[in-house]
Amino acid sequence: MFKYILSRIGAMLLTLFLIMSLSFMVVRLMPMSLFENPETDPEIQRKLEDKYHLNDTIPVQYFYFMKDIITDLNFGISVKIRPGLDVFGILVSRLPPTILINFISLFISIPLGLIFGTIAALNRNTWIDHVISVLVIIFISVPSFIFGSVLQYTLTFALPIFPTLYDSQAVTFAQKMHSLCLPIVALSLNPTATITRYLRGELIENISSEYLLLARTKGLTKAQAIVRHAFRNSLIPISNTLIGMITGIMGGSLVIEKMFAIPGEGGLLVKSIFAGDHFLTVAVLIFYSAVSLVTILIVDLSYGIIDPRVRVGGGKA
Amino acid sequence: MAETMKKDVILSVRDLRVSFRAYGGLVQAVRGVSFDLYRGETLAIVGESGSGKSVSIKAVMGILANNAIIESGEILYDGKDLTKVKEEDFHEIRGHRIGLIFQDPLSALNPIMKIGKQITEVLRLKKGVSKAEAKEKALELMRVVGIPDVEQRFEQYPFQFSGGMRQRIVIAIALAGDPEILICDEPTTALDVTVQAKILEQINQIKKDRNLSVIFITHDLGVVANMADRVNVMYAGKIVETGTSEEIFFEPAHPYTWALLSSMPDLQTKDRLNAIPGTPPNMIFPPKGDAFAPRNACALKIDHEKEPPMFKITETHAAATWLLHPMAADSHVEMPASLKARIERMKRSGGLNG
Amino acid sequence: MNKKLIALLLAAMMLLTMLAACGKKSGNDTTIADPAAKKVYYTCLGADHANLNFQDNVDTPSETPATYCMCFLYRSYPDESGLNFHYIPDAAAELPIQIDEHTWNIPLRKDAHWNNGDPINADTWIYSFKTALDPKLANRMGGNVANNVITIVNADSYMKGEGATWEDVGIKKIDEYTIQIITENENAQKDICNHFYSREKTPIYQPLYEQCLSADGTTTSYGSDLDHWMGCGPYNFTTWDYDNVQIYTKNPDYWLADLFHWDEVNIRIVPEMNARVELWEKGELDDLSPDAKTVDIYIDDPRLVSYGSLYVDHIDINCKNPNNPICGTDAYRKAVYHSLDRETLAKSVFGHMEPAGWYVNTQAGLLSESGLTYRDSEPGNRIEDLVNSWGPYGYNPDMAWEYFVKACEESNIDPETADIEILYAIDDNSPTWKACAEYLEQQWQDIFKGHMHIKIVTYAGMSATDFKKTGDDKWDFSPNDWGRGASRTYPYTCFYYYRSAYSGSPNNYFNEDFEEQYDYCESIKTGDYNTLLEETAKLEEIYLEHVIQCPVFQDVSFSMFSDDLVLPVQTYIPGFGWGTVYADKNV
Repeated sequence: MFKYILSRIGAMLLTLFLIMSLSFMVVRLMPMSLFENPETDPEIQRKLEDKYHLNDTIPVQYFYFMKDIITDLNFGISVKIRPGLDVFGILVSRLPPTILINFISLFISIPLGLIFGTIAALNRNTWIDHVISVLVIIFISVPSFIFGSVLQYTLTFALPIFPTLYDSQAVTFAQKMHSLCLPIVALSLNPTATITRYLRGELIENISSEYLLLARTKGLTKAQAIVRHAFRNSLIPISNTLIGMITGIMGGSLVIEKMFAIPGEGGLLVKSIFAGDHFLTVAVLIFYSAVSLVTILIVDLSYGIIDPRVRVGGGKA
Repeated sequence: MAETMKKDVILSVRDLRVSFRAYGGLVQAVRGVSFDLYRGETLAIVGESGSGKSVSIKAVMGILANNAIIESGEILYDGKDLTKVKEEDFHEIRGHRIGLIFQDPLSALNPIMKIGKQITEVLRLKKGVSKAEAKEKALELMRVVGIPDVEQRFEQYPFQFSGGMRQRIVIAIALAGDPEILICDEPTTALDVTVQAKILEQINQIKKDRNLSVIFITHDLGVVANMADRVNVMYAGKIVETGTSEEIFFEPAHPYTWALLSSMPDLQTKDRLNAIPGTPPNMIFPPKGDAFAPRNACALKIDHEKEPPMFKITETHAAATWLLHPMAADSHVEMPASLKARIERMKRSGGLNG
Repeated sequence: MNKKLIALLLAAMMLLTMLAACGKKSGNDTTIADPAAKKVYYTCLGADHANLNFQDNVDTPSETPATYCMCFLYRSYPDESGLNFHYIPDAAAELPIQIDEHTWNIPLRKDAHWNNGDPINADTWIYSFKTALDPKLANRMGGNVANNVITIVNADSYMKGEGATWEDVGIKKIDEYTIQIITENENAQKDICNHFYSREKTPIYQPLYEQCLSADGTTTSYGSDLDHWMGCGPYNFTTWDYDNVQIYTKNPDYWLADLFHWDEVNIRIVPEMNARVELWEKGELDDLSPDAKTVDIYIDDPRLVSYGSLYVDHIDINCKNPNNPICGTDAYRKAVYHSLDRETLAKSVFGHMEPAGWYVNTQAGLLSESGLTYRDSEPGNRIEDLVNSWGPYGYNPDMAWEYFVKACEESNIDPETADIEILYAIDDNSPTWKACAEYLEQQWQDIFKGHMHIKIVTYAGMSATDFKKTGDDKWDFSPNDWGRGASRTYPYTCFYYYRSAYSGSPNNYFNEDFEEQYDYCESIKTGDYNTLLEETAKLEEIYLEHVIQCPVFQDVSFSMFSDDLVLPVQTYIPGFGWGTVYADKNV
């Protein structure tokens, strides 16, 4: 097990390194100069570029880029979006709302998805199942920002229950959540539906499985058999969908953040790309990759925890 | 041996009819099956797949699929009609009174639950046994079914077990509830032959030790010969012949039983095995007369028109075929010569264990 | 057991991360004041400003904090009538005093001070202007200090390091409370005031600035956040949640505090127009500026006010696309000019805009001495008549085809077999210009009989303008909306960007007559205004003759104000606006 975790972390770090290199290269290849400014004296422009090693060859630039990040988490400074500010500091300052909406969405959608998936599976082919299935199709196929705008219109305007925009001035946690409710709901619909759909399928399969029958013939009640055998077994494949869900939520939050004026990482990425704030773009890209990779790591590890075939099998190898 | 025993009926199935709702209509899987199970005996139910044998058993266990309907009949056990027992209460009977061993041990065990837990689960949940006690009992059961290194095996997962070992575990699980009836649904079909024999021996041994009554379902007459006191032959949802093992093997009366026996491989026979021609009938529209008639080369005219009733041959032996009707005597239909020879050989070799 | 522990630990970790993220802000004080008595101006911006270093920050949103939270030498203030405005001394003690043709003295208030109480005097201003022009810092707004409404002698040369030293620059300290400005040209008093009323000419707080300056003196973090910045205006910048909200509260110690009525200004950053409309509809905003799409909803609302803006949106035409030699001919550009159905485009494609077959905007000349705009003047009308004589707003399919044939002949192309592809470079996020291209593609089927096609290209992640700056010249059309504030006073300066002297010239065009005429206008700009209008008309004629670029529509701006709001003006005043900074509210 220890070896398994270690190999996973190793693989993650390698991937992160590759992504960092790749984003560095891609961003460097974008045609805009970092300090593009026709008024600037070429001499000064050169000095500025020297300072950030922009006049060195790409491999040398790459070396400095990596060195700075590894030695002191220095991603450079922002030059366009928040000139003069440390990129890492900007990243950190915008973390709270992004984490809030992304993680709460996730934490809401997992139990909800499990509940609805179970309901649908247990009432398979009844009207309850059909209603849930139709909703699932809608929520999976329609992107989150559409729900965002629908919710924004209906629940902040037509029926003003929630504030239209994120309120960073909220003092208490409750107030803050009140203004984050709609974006969270908008982001939760799709993952909830995803889990519902997967769980329904898995549960139906497991409910009709032989071992569930065995569980029942050995005298467990239907509820006991489903909870102890079908449900737990269904969670294994579900945990894999978490990866896609988290990246999905993060992708959705790029747009949702803008819609509800939430000052988070998503808006930063889009803005920095358009502004040509290369250091910032790279840093946000790395942030997003790191979050995805950590997710994958956690899912992989928990996979090992809940699926003995991986855990024990891995130990043997 | 069975004859000398006092016949104490433990389970009685009366005129059971089970159908399934399907897209094409009602599939009449079981069409009026009746049999008794006597305490301490092994009753085999033999038939091709789709003959309704498993469905009958599932009805007994109360684990019919959702689209199944019990149209009529009763299953009497312990003074209760099991067809009337509600699902909520059925778990009191399953496992504790009637245990079931599955056909496919590979998929019957929960792949992500420890073996030990799968055995102790029912003890802990249903019998309120303490954890240590449950483990003790499980280890004992594992020893009983012939698992070595029980302590270590207790903590392992199904994928670490071979097929035979898994079937032993399934048996251990079935025994955990201390049932008095054990139903074995083709318990050895998925296993290789060498393991088969061992498992069957094990079941026999356990039956004797615990004084169980066993219903043994199989399509393999060879297996039946070793196990059963009495045999029911099922075809198209009905019992077409019933009798003691000797009667079925040495004096088969129904053409379907002939066909089954002819298709059974044995070591002495040099002849070609005779596969049964055709396929079982579509049970949405069961045939009018004898269901086997379309596949029976020597079927009588009446076989296609009227369903034969059960003709009693001896006290224990009966078959549903018009051949036993007095009027059929002049039709001169007899069992195939090759089968006759084979039965003779079997008789000479002194019993069923050839 | 072991795995349960791990799972529990994981869950606890996630919970902790979340709580850490949320818990950060709690426990702040709430300002408990009587809300009824408080006058709060609720408004919004589409984007936040990058920082408060006004000397370098080029984004327009930074004008807002500068206006509210900084002092200027002079401020504009509405007339009693509410129909015009004038300049009032802010940190200056009185209006500029003319010493000679080129020299102006600006006396300073003795009570001007920073928010922390430190005085603002001649040294402050000299330090600020010197920093703005510092060649090492290369502030992006520095050029506007040297040369915008007035041109300060040697300032440009000093900034660009072209020889002038700071002693040569026309900004001097006379005494502790007087500074002197020496200009290149003769200017009106109003021009001096106007020049100094813009954000890059607000003072900077020396102690903090020096602290923020990098060791090599090339970069500064001054203004990157509220801790690295000092205010000195009518309002204190109390809260700045980047990309979310800005809150200004009234500064009672400000010397002109009586002119300002808001107790608090609350500015939300709302990038989405839909959300802005919702806030407005819910009464959470005191004003709304609907865009061309949104204005449809409010077109019959009595509160909607509109005015022609500073911009004539146009299509830059590349005259030197190596892949498309025909683009060098005047006839080709005329063909394009006459092929645009501007009425349909302005009304249907861009929505509620004014078609324009000319380039000088409707505000040009508004701030001149007489207040007569070029478009309303006789020479301006003459040009409009000329344009309309070709067809409505210059649209004439027959002429377009004739010029096309001519252009083909000039470039040795057979017009019958010609197949010319026009690369139309637009920004990813400009759906209206894309729609415009699609409309043209349709129309051109008929007008150019299928011999000219449009191909839309976008440059992912960068604007077409940025793309052109990379030096790539393989494009043909590119929509643009550059405006020049100075044209409000001097109409001819609309054409500023199309001279070869302008480094960022967007169309590779060079025409001697045009340059000469522009220089001539420049030389007579402070002379007789009517002559200037006449000469501007000649410039516009040359522009039309060669179709230096292709005008499409006069941009129209829309605004709405809540009924409670009491504006200090009767109407929109170009160069001044609605004066919401001085507005009041009925409570």
